Amino acid sequence: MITTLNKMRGMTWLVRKSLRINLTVEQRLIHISAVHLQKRYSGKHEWAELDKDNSVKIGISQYAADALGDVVYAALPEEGQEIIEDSECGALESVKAASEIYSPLPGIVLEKNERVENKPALINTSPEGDGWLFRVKLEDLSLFEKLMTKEEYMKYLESQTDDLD
Amino acid sequence: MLKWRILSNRLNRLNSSFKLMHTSSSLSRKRIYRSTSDDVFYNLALEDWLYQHSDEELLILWKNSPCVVIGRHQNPWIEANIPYLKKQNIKLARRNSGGGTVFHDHGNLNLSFITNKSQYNRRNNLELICRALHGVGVSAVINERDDILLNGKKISGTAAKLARNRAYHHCTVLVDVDRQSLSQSLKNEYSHEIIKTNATRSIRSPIENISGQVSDITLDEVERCIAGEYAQGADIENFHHDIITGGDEILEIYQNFKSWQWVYGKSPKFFIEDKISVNGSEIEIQLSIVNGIVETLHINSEIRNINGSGVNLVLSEDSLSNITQNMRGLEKECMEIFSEKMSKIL
Repeated sequence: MITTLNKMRGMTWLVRKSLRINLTVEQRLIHISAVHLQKRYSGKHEWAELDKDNSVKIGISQYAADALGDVVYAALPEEGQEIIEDSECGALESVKAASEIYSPLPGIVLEKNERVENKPALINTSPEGDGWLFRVKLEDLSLFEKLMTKEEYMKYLESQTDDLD
Repeated sequence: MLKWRILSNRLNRLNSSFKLMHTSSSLSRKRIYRSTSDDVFYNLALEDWLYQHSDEELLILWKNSPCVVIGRHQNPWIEANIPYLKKQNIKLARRNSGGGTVFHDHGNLNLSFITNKSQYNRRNNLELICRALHGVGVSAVINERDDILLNGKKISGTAAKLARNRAYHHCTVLVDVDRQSLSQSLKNEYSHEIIKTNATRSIRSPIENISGQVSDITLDEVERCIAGEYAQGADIENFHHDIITGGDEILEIYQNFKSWQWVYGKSPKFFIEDKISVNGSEIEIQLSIVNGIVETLHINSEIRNINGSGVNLVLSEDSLSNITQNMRGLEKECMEIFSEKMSKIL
């Protein structure tokens, strides 16, 4: 009786373990696809969006675009340029001020958004959509996951404005 | 303590005409630096170096020998009269901040307010200048474009550069500038029909000198008032001599500001479109220029990629030199590169 019970427990354990493994794989699959759909944000108001091919689109957040004012010129990094995380890689000019562009993630530039070069106002009208700035090839995905999710970023923004009060 | 370094000959020559004097306010961590060099490239380098290497609030004051300074994303050929500048030995510089083109000479005071990003406040700086000017009988006001006006005319232009942690706002004050030289220097030689570009354009406004209202005012007086207002009670007559220790670094930045690649080559991509007479017939030429180098040449309706091969142009050597001459005196280096590449192809 006890042996049978043990056997049953053992079997159940085996079944449960295999189920757990399957669940973990599933969870992992969901996790990857969720990450690929998301935009992540840096504390300096840049966003990054991971594409299926692990290239990352970079832009500035609505908050940053509003703070800049009307963008009259976008100097974007060139294709093939190596971007070092947190260092200047371009500039946006607005209201007589040239603001440096930083990338929250390192990588080689695959593409710059020529539409924005020709029409910098896109950065104001659609900073998190058509107004993206450039795309980089990201080697280390874990760096992407270290950035804030949208919810975390919105909370972060609130805390920033609270401090100003 | 003072630190002396062996500087290169060039820097020595510059530094012999340059003294860095500073005073610090005991009320807050603020410093005022006054450059006695009148070399625009050196002063831009000094500003850039202090902006990068200091974490204090600074005001830098300087004046330049006659020069034209264009904004970071501008095209010098449409902003300034380059042949006139060359003839008059007026320098042409490109700064790192945004905004439009200005003319400097010894009647113009330059100010740079360097702060941390969180303290960046253009309006405050302009109000400080206005308060100082009111103190010498100049009734200046600020408009919505952050220009300082006197009797409705501009006496100051503003520009800024913002990075993650630091920022600077610099501006001019027209005390007694040579107006004729200014208007000749800023007359754009090439019409917008010929040069097509996304580069930022200057907005021309009528200007005025402070000396127009207070005829015997000197630049030194204006400088002292503004410095006094900034220092808020600190004794600004006690200047201390100091030597910037970053000699070689400033030299590197200086050489970059002086280089053709920065001044002319940094112009945003532009197109030159013109009709010229070659071999008795009129042909349309379009050049695209990126980083100062001719990238493509478009003749009538055929595109010739300069870097490609197999270009079949029926043009003689004479015609080629006609083309280059007819390109209305574009920067010589640019045209030399063009001719060199063209003669390789033909």
